[in-house]
Amino acid sequence: MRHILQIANSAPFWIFASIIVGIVVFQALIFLWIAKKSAPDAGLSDKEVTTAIRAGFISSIGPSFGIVIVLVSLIALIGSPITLMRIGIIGSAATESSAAAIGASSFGTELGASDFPVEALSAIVWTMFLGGTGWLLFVMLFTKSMGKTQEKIQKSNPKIMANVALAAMLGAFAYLASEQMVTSFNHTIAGILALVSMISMMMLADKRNISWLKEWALGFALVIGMATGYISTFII
Amino acid sequence: MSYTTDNTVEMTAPQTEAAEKNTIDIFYKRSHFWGRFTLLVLIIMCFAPPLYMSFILDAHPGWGVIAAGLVGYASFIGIMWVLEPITYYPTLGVAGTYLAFLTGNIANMCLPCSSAAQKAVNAEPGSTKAEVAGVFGIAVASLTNIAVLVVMVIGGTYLITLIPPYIEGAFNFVLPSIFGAVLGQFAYKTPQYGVIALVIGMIILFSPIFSLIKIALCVALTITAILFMEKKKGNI
Repeated sequence: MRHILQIANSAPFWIFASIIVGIVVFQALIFLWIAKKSAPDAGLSDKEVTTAIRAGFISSIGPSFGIVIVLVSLIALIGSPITLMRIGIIGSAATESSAAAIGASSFGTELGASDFPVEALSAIVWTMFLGGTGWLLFVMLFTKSMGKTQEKIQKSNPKIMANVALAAMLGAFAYLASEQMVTSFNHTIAGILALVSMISMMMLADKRNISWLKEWALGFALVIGMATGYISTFII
Repeated sequence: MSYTTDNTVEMTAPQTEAAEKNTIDIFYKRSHFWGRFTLLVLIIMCFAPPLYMSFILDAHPGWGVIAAGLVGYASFIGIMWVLEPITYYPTLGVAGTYLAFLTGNIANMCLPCSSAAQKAVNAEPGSTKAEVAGVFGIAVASLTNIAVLVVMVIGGTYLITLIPPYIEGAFNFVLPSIFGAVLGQFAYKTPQYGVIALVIGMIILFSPIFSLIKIALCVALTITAILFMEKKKGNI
């Protein structure tokens, strides 16, 4: 196992990881520029641009630390750079853990096994990196056609698109929230408290016209949900 | 004289309209170009680590093992390559799709940050304003995530031991909190649709269906239900 980690943490993997980090940073900066250029035409004032950026920043802190904490468990198995490339960026914990497990089993071993040859790590790397290109290829090739379909719907009836966007968000998060909340009673408490506090903050922000609260709402709701979920573990 | 002035007045109206359409068209054109370009570079880059392991480190696991791993992975998760981009497209839009699928962690980071930015500037779901605001949210989230990851991964296990146990315990509840909060954010203006989505989500969660298509099914059914109700109300 130590031998494996020496390879997985060697300089070439750090170089690969730096290049991938570089691509993601470059893309984020390019899209910030694209959005900034088109902001006035999309009806966003300079002040609203700052607001949107601040809301994105505040809301991303909780999720980012959530990702780091999940990532720690895999660093011990496949080393820092591969974990950084696959879970931190590109994929997510769920898909990449299954890719790692499938890759290892196709070599006839399992993650963390005492007898774990370099070739098994290689099998995992192949499965993770090539398996992950599926999403990238589909998005690269077909986002344009999805955009054209949207344009057609928008032209025939703009209200349909607004409802589809709202319904898609509600459907996805209703499912994700349900799935999490049935895990344990504490998860249910965390989810419900986050939901209720979010609704209260949004109503308060609308009623009193407190625009900063909308920027902070997701961050606050996260802290409230996580704190009550954790505290409830001492009671139940 | 009067003939020419009339003529110019008539000419300017469609011209400004065309110019307005063009600037948003430029937004899409730039998004497609840079989105596809960055994805292509990333796809090419994804071949580097596996090729390096097989042919430079000489740790080739054998094509049979690689094929078995990829087929195993594709048969298990391959449907998500297509379903996920389509499911999240209505919320992410063109630019958001390019950003989110490159930077990963879509449900637990990109979508929440996109929606937080949209809500902070009071953008209607599905509108161009929402799409551009969402780009700011996701791009900033992507940069924050990378900054947090790089610091934590380079700082290594040492920084992670600095996180007190109660914070780590609270982070067990980060996912139900994120998902509950985002659900609340979208449900508060149309609570009955939120309830409908939750009911559909719960039914699908406990139905004996292949688990990976559940979320797409929930989105499809919620869209159908909401469009049907809006149509019945005569709104669309």
